[in-house]
Amino acid sequence: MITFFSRLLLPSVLLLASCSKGGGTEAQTVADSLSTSQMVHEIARCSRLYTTEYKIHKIMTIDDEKRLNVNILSQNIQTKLPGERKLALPIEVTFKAYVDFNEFSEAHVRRTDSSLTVILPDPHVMVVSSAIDHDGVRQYVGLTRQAFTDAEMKDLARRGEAEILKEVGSTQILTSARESAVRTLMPLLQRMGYGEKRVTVTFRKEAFTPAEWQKMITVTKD
Amino acid sequence: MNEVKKQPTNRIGRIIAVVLACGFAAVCISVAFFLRGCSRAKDAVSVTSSKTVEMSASEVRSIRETGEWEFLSVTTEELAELHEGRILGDRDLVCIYRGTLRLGVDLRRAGEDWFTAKGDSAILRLPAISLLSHDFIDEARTTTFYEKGTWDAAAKKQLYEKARKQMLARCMTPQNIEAARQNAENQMSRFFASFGFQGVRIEWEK
Repeated sequence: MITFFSRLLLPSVLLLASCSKGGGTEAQTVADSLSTSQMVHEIARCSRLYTTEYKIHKIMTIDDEKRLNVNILSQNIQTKLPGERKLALPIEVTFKAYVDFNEFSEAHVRRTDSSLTVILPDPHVMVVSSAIDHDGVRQYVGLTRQAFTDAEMKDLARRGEAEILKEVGSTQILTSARESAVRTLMPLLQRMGYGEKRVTVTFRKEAFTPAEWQKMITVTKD
Repeated sequence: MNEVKKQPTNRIGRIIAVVLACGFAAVCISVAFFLRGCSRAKDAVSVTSSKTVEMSASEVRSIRETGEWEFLSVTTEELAELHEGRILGDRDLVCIYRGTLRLGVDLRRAGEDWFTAKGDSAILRLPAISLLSHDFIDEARTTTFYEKGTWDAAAKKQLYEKARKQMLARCMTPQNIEAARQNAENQMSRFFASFGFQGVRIEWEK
């Protein structure tokens, strides 16, 4: 009798544990108790010509070790506890380079009867989006450890984005932006009545210092 | 006779008892000193976590030339959530997503003759104001507000997509599109005025 009930009880418990109130594993949204809220931070009028887009990919990894420290009679003994906890998180950040025409005026244009010279504002670079490759995330967690939380993953992604931001200046994105801006505007300027050889599009400076490069990279702050 | 034999036995017993008592007292004193030393030492026994973060080299996956003229940007936050009720405990994931929607004109969709000069007037035929990029969420800046249980990649992508659609619905309003269009007309007038054009007429394609 006891054996019969024990054989029946365990499968029943397992069956009940696999059930969910909503049916299956499909997630449901709670529309009544918790409503989504939205706050529009800023609506800004602008005049920016985006000329180049770069997508930069990076894989962030983290190895979380637990160590036992014992202090006995002024002796410190350290030993690594069993159980690994590792995470690999791929992230892709999209940058766009643009020329801001908000302050563009006649002062940037030199016209004569036969030639046209346009001095464009310095290009800038900004992060327009970033995305975590959730399908590519890999985590290896021992039995004695806890899985990585979503908050930990987002924190790692934030660090990855910051690192990519530091390195974007070493790419050719600003050079590409200038070349692309010229290619975009040149047909327009030629259609104003100037031939190809009489239109010159230039920028304020040809070469920038590393400090000036960093100022051209816009970082969105919270 | 028996009393004589009992006296040496009692003496040995007493000696053993005294030795045991002294030994016990010595052990107690040693333990007391040990505990006192441990309580003075900071974190005598502790478990620490050592996290080593490494990163691969940045890889440029794509480079694309664009020709997008932005006239209005809407920076926004959206709270999105997932909830799953289970008999052995509910699961919840609530995140705050941040992003910037950029409205403007994609010149690559415009014809080659989108600009025509007629005397001192500029005639522009521009494509309709549209969202310049459908990827506008900065997921690295997302805040996990509340998390209970474990969530797989499919659920997190679902949550991201839900936040994206909510942002689109709230920000791509007729009012914002009209504001972008009006700003486009103002900015284009200023731009072409810099080149000596007195008037700018914009025809919007549908």
